[in-house]
Amino acid sequence: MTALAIPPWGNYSIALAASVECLRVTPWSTRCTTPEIMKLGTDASPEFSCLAFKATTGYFIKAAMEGVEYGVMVNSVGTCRLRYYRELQQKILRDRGFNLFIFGLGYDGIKPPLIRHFDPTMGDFLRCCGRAFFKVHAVDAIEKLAWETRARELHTGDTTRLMNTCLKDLDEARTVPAIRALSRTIPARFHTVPTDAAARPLKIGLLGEASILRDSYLNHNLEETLGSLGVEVQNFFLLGNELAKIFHIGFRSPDSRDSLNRLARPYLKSRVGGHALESVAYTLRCAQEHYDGVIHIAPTGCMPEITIRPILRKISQDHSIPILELSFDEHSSHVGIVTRLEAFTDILRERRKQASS
Amino acid sequence: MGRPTHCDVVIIGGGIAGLTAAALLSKAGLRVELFETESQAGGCLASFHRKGFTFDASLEWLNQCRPGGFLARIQHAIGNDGPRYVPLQRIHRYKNTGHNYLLTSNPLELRDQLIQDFPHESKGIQKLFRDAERLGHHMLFLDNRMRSVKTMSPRELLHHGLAMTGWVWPIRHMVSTPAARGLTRYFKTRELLNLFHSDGTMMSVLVPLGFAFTGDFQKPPEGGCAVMVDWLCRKITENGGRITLNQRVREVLVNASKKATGVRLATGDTVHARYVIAACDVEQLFTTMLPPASVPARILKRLRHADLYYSSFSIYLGLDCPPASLGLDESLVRLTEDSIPLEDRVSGEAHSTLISVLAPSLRDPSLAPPGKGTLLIQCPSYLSHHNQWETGPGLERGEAYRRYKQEFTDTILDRVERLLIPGLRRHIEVREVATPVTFHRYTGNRDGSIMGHKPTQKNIHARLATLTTPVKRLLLGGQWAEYGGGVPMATKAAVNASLMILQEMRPDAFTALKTVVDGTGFRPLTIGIPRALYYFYYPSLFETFFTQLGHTPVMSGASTRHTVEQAVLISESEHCLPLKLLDAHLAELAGKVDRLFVPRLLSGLKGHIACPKLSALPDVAEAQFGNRTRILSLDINETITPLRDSLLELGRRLGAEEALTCTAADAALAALAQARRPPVRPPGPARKRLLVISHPYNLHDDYISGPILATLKRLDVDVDLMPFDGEEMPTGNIKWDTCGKMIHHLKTLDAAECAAVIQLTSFNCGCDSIVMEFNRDILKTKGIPTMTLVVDEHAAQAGTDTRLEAFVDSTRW
Repeated sequence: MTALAIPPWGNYSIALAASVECLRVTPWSTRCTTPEIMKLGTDASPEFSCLAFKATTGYFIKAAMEGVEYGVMVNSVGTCRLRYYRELQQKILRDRGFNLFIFGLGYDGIKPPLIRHFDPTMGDFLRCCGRAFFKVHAVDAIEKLAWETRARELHTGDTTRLMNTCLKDLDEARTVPAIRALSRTIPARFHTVPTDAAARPLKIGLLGEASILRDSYLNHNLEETLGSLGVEVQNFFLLGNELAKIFHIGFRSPDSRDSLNRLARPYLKSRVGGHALESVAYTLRCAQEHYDGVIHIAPTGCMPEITIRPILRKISQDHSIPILELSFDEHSSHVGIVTRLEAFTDILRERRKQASS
Repeated sequence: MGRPTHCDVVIIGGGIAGLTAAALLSKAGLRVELFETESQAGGCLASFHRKGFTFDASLEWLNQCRPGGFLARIQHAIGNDGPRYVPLQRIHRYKNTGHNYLLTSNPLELRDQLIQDFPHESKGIQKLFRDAERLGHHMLFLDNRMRSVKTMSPRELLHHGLAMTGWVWPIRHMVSTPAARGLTRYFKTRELLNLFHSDGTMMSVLVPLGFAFTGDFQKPPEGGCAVMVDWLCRKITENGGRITLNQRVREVLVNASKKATGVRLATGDTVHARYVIAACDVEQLFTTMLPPASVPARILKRLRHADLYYSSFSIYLGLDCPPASLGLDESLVRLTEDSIPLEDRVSGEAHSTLISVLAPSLRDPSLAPPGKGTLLIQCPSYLSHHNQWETGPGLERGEAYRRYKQEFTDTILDRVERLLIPGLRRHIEVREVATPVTFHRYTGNRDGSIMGHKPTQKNIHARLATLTTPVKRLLLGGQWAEYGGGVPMATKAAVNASLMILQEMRPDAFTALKTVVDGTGFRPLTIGIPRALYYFYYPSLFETFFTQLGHTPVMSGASTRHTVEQAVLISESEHCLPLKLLDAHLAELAGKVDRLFVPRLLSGLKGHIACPKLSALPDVAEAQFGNRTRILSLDINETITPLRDSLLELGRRLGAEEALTCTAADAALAALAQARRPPVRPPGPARKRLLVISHPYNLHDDYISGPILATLKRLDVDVDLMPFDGEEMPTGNIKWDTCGKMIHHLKTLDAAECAAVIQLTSFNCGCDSIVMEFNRDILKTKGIPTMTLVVDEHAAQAGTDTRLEAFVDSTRW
């Protein structure tokens, strides 16, 4: 059977892999980038391209080396350079003599080239869409519970272990009823983790560029590191919300495009591209909901996210909410990041102490 | 004679007031005839030339000419191509045998120096300057209260009355307290009292300081005040008004029902008119031009006993050296001596009077031949003071007058040499002296007074200042119709007289002028345009558009090393270089202009989109500079809105009239097309040329591309810069406007004509990181050698030069 390379996108890779099974191809996917992939990508990419580009390029090269014939890459119609990644990656692969064809995934008409090429039956297609949809939501549920539990767990590592088991079960669930049955058991399973009920952990919002936010290799396992420092995180990139936004489901919800536009409007009146508007809107929401701090994450040189940083600083001033700006590139050192996170959480603790006294 | 015997308005006197009224009325479509006795219009604003020097007769500084000021608005209502006024930086220098203080556009400098010299009076000095600042801002209110009550509806009248009462109340004690007494409330030290002493009320002490706080001192326009006069004359004739010089009006015709019906000239011709505006001396008008007994005797008596501003004794000097070498600057020096009692400073005696020294050519070098300078020495003087000027009853200038004039001049020059400029006489090339008699002869003003009625209690009680006269349809339109003359007051009277006429004859023009005077309509702004990024997309477009609308565009300077250093300090470190430069340019302008112009550039080319960073610029600028200056923004999206429509929207946002906006937009687009036109290739043997491609904001920025282009020039390479002409082109696979243009340009490039291509990019440019890969492919298939140059804030000239030299050499072999 032919294989299709799906770039790593954190735990959502489980759902993405499930969705391509309907095309009767083997998903070639992994949950996060590896150092080897990163090395391949950095060597092949233009110097000033962003980390996400380098990581995905490396991934496609690796896949091509393993004999994978097809790949899939987002190419949205936005203004960000992500729009041209597929094209440039295809060129890079061609120049290096690899024979991997990358399908674009975006608003390409009613039937995207990917579907046109593999042409699944309507039944297969719907079944896999359903599977992917429920898996995405299950992943979101697991993530949310993990963020909450990890900050309160009594024995370090309990939550991460449980989370991995859950994700493994989810990966193995093949039918919609199985996935839904599994989803229902997840909250109860997380309640078995012994926690400190009296703990009032710091609450930090994570926002910024989606692929870095979701790839635990690229972001140096930010969520887990913060969790072990006793911080409850809220990662504002949730694919479930993103899909709802794209397909205009639940347009009244606080995460709908309209609500976010309205929220960000005093500071930003244009979408800019990427998730820049979301970053501004969610920073404001963190301020409204009295989060202790915000961490803004972007690959070095990210066009939309870097552009709006002066605005984030203004929000930080106006609403007196601390913001830590982290830029990641292939040279970021893990220890450096951890040290900064520790310093940031120390400051937030001190702030909280002063505020309560 | 071919003179029409009928017109709408006759104006007597071609001073600033007469000219302003004539310009306003002729613009409203009325037929206007203006008569001036002298051979030159201008009155007190006249200039004269001697041996290459230009002298302004009496102007020391202007106010209300700043953007949004009353005079600036009136000038704009007459036409938007009027003279430009530059604010004075150094305003007054108080020079005494004992002290030397400078009032600048930042009066706090003077305050701090005074506190340093008189530490024990620190509190009083601080209070004085605080009051002055408050008063300065308080006075701004009057800018929009210049309309006479005679043209107000009852409702407006009520509103005006309440507003004025509310305005006067907080400053009532300043209006009524004489300066000599008022100042003792602030401090007791005699030196300080002498420094600020004035013969008027506390207002006359605090208002000049207040003007300095609000930046309301302007230089006369470049070329002297004759430029203002000439411009007004041109506007009048353009609109069909007529100015007749050397023509004295002998009498004003009054019919049986005591209405003015026209004037009779000295030649005997009569000109009939619906209205007559007398912008001339009021006493002469009442006593010699009107039929006897048409003005009640009590009015004449009050006029005769009015308090008048002094006239002036002026010495105009052409110097054989630049005045800066004599230790002068653009400030007006006020010379006093400690040994002279305060009250004698305005006595008019040569030995004791206050002397003002000004070097106009330091403000405006065009007034003197190169390497030389002009100097104006003035002091208060009186015509009728004990027959000081030794003239007879008809002001004959005989031997005695000339002798006294010489004596007076010598005394003043002696004092200036002693107090300020030793050896001044050795540098004098041209010398002209004007006495009050001279001023009387040329302006016709009673006693040669330059500023008319003083705003004293006595004058105000006598109701001297009035627009109407006992004769109907005869209006006063000059400084005599207001208290406290000067250009603003004379203009105010002229505007109000014009308003009264327009109210009856041209109601629509009346409404338009009314909104201008009340400041409810158009307000000229200074708009800062950074010379970065979007400016290079649309060169000349925005500044032309704003100028045409009557606003003042202020451009930041070209990028230099210093700009970059500034940018590194203030800008987000991960921005690309053009964005950083933009921040530095904005920082240079912020706080100094009324608005910062930062458009939201969504698409600069039909069918394309702009770099996403440019779509957040106004928001980012708001976050960074919004607390210092308001941001003026505009969405530019040429894909859905033609540029012209965007400009019209901008005009609407600025509150400009639709018709004016249209002409302004067309002029701006024409200027843009002109600026975008590629330079003409010099004739010569056709050589292969080197093409530099990049975004317009890289190619035309002095810091980013300047050194590279200079090196290429030195290497004797014919260079083409990639044009960004806004011309439509097929949409390729790259949707970014400037990048699409680059690709299109390279695809259509003729390999036979192009020796090589240099791709110029700035550090961290997101678009280029993608597009340059495609560019390189295209150039490879065409077989054109190429090189990529990355410019960042640490660019080293030597390294770039070496690379360029090597590249150019390699293409030549």
